[in-house]
Amino acid sequence: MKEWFADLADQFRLNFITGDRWTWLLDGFKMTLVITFFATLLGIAIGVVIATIRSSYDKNKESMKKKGGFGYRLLSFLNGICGLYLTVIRGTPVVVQLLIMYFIIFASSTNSTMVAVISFGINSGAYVAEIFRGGIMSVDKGQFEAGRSLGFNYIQTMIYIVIPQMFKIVLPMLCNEFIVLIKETSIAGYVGIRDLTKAGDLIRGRTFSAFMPLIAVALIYLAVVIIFTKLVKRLERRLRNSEH
Amino acid sequence: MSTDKNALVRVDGLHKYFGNNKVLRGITAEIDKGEVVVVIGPSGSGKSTFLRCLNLLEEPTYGEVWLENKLVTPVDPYLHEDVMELSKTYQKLYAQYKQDHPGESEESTKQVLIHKIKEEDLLHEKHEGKAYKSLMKKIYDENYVNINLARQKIGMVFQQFNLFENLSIMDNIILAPMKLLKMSKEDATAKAKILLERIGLSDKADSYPSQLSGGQKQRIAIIRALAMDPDVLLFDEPTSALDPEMVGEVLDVMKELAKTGMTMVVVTHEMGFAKEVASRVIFIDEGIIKEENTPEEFFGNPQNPRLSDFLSKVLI
Repeated sequence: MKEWFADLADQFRLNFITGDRWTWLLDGFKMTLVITFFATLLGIAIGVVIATIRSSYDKNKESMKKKGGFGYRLLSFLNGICGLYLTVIRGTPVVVQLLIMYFIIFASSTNSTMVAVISFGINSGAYVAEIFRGGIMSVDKGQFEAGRSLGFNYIQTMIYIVIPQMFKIVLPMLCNEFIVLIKETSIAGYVGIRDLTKAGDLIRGRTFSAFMPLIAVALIYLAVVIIFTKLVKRLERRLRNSEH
Repeated sequence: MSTDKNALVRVDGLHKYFGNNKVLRGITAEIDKGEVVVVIGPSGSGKSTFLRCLNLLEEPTYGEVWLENKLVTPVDPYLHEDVMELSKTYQKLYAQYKQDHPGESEESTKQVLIHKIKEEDLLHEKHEGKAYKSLMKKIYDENYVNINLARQKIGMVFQQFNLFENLSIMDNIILAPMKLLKMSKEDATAKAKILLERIGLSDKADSYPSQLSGGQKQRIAIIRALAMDPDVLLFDEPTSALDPEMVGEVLDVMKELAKTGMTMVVVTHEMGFAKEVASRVIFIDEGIIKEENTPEEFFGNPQNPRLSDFLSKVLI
């Protein structure tokens, strides 16, 4: 037993202390957070635009079709593009998307972090778009009509009335998307980014002991996810309580 | 085309189809300043659709809606004889008709052709020529006003209240005056306080809609519309979603409003309200106006058999 503990301590020292290898994990963790954070922002931006286009199209196509004209053609064109985007992104694995981005689309770029942010952002955008669209649709139609009947135009009604109510509905789901994304970025090592997973793997390669670094990586992910899940729960409770 | 220039609201040849379901099949009506018009009819008769067409929450399939002598729908060529006369279709028919009926007078020829074009829906926007198009555009340019501007002057009260759930009662009332009329927050709030006092709900200013009863919500919805100083108020079955004991408080507010001379169009099943307050009652059935009269005549001496039947069922 005593030997086992001594062995464990040695392993720990070898994997984390020697050569300050713990800083590899720390740097990797920072990288994971950076990629996740900016990818989430990009995903939300893309999601808002797509959800707006798709729900505007759904809501207005009847009346606009009758009038025809440039506005209708533009909107149905954009709607088509969005549909294609959603189909492709949700129908292919994110690893493949990342590899395509890195080796084909941004083959000339040396900034692999940016490529990862863009890939994960574009991927996340597809899911966030559907979250937003569901949120917009779940706001009662009467709220929209009440806004319009007071004289607000379509966009004003969206901004003052529909979107604030939508955000309350989708905020917990957005946080969940962030949690999903944190874990999803663990594949960034595929394109040579030293994120948390890759850092653990590098230590393993250097020390030839897999247990310590990989379990450490897993625990860090787990801790972050647990913390964020708790925060989301609290947020949900707050939103429910303030439900007016 | 109707000639009453004082009408606040005027609808002409209003049709509304939902797919193959022809909900409205030609309604022409005018609402003058100060009138309280009550619209009744069996469910599914199109009365709510009619009301919602007045502020274009539903877009009419055919026909024109005029608000304060401003057009808010596209021009409907079938309502303008001068437009129809300029169309290529008319000119073709005219030549044909002249050949077939050499002796016929100009006036009666015109009547026959216009009737034919209307009945058979012969106009095709794209093929009617330049003169036709430019007159259509001229009418449009001279009369059209954006619906969002027009709606500021038409308040609407819904069956389901539709207070903004994310805003306090005060914010519900002042949002539109601040954003659309560019009122300062102080002015809007002061005005809202006066309105709240009028309906006896001053203490609810900081509450949220979910904390109010149905009757209170509906009274707030009414003053939210009033805060925009509308010229007309539309009521879409304002008491149908209320518990019976709350109907009275909402009707009282509406009666008081009517006394101040507010122009109102009310779709309702409250026959008592119609008898007491209405200056005119309209009976809509199967998508057309079947009867239209003063409440005394309407309830005391109904002409249309469908109306007699309907009244015998609702007035027990």
